Amino acid sequence: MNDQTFGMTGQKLTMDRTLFQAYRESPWRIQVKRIGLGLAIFALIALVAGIYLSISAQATEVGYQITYLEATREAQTLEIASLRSELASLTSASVMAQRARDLGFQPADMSQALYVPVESSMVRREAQLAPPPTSKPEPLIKPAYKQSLWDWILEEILQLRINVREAQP
Amino acid sequence: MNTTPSAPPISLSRFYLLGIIFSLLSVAALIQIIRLQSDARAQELPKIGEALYNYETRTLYPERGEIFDRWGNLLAGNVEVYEVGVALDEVQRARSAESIARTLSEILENPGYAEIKLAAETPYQKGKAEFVTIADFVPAQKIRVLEDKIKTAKENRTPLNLTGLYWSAHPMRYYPENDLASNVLGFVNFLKRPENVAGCQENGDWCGGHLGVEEYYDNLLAGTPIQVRLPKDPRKIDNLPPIPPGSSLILTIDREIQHAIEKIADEARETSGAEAVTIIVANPRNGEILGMTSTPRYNLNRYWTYPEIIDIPTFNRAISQVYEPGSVFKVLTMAGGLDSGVVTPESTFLDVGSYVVGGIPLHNWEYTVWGMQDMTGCMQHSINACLAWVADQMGPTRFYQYLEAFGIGRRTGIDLAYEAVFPLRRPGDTNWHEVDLGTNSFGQGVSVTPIQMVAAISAVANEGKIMAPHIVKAYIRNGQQIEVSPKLMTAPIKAETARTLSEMLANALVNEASPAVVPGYRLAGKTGTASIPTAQGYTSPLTNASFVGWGPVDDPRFIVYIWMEKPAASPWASVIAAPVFHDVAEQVITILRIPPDEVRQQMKQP
Repeated sequence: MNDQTFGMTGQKLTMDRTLFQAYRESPWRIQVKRIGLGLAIFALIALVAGIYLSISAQATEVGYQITYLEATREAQTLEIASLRSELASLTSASVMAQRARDLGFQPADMSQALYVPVESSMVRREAQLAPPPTSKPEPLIKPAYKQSLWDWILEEILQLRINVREAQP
Repeated sequence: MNTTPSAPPISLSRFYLLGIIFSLLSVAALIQIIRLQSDARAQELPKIGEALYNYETRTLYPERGEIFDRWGNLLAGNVEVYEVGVALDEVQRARSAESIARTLSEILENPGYAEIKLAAETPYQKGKAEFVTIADFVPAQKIRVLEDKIKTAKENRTPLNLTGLYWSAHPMRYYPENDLASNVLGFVNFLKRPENVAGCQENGDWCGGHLGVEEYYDNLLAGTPIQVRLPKDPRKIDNLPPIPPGSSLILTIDREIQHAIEKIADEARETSGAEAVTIIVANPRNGEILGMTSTPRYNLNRYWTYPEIIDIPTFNRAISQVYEPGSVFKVLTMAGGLDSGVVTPESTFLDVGSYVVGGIPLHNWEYTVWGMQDMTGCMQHSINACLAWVADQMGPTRFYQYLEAFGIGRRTGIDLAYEAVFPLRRPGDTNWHEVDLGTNSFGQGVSVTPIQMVAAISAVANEGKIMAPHIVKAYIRNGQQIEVSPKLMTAPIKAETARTLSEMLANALVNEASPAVVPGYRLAGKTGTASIPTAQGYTSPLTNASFVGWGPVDDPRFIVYIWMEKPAASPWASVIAAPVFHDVAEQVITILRIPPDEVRQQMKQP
């Protein structure tokens, strides 16, 4: 019994050794595999680094552009204010009075004034340099860019229902 | 016999020494670590490091709001100017001081070549002397000339070494109308920019708006500076947050009226020899100030050339200077008398040239005697005795109640900096005497500002109601125009009283054929010639001449107040101030396009 058992064990051991040897790769294959793996890792790292570099470069460029545009906006705001002041200077009360005199106009004389009734729309309006607070400003970004697809579908369905109801007599 | 040489004995003391040194260093490092972790100042180090190498904190100042007249004409704006300076290390490395000095001195009027060269050659000291400003507030046109010069040199390949020269733009307050409405506007002390002068306001220095609208609305106009933390790494650069500009103001001032009254004030000052002339034009219906001037005026673009500009009372006498107004005050006394029912327009008074109040006789001007007069006659001839009698009939309690109701002794609250007020002495005050009832009735012994008089008398022109005088019509904030609603201050008299008194004063003007009358228009008005008190009493021959008038009487659109201080040509307001009112009224009527009474009546008919 013991011998039999021993014999079987010995046979198994022999088979195991054979199997192990059968699946062993040749050294050059292992080498190629390792080099390939190394190259793949390297390529991956290079790819990631390349993408990172590219995005960083783009971000940097955009960053500089933003800075430049902000500086330009600031300069142009200042220039606009400056031009507005210059225009006001050129049309100031004293300058306009002098120009009128040079053109042969005279200050209005009450005795020569002729009063005629005119429509209220023709009467000079006081300064309205900005809209009143009640009027809502137009949104800068259209709602379509902010709503989800689901919101949009719901809205369209609701609108369709309203249109159908309105169409019914 | 094998005799190997014995190894030299190892000196352990050196090892021990090294061990001790390393141990001490470790302990020192440990102590330092603990110190850094626990020291409050050390906590700041990462922030400093971050600020130096990662982020920078910048304070962004919003553009100062602009100021417009009621028609949208710009009265105060901003222009682009430049600060020019040199980076000393760059100049010294490139040896460009001489070239910079030569180029800049050809463009700038000031400073000259020598000064620029001296500035550019300042020895560089890290952290102490790195950058020197050569000139500030350089107009944009001059910078364009400099840029053209550089461009031409580049194109022609001419050597022009300006290494280290820098210029940067910033806004500067600018008043396109120069001195127009200067007394109302005030100015901005732009020579001391808030970004350059740390703790400027805390030091009591005027680094923002000073006087007038510029000071009163300084916070609103200046806006709120914001601090932003900007990364130095360009990859992290974020867009700057929007900096809302300061609010812009639309004034009630009409530029045409303002221009007209300033011209008239200058002429009046010249012809009368008055020390100063003050004119106010307002709309009694809503309290809007249409024009306000006080001589002298100042070119606000060169405010630093007037050392006297800091003298607050003389900057805008219309609101900051109190004076005894004289007979224009009689309008208030008569309004009180009529409203309380003490007198009617038909009540009569026998004038004998004086009236005794508190045991002291109060005389008419030049001791004139007018005999029997009704109340219109009293106002027409400006009889002191008659008005003292009216006040006496009212009694001190009622008389002063009316004065208080008219706002005498209180600020009107006009939205301009430095409105003055003189306390009204009332019965019970230690410095009040019985005779004051009489003298106060004709505007002596009581001090007011012209704006107080305008506000008080506008009640007579506006159905008994005083609307709060104001200078700002609307303001623009966050891109929206917000209108300022007119506010009712008080209603000291009944509408009927106001109409009656207006008619009386209009009749008085016509009856005396006053030079104030404007043909075709029924206007109400009253002169006022007041003695000027000195330390010795009313001994000065000089006077204050005033006139108040409004119209058209049936539908008042304007009220005009004139004050001429110490006129030399004549002491009488009827001679000096009434013609000025005529000129102002004529201009205002033309600019406001008010048709003559006859035409208006025709237009009213269906």
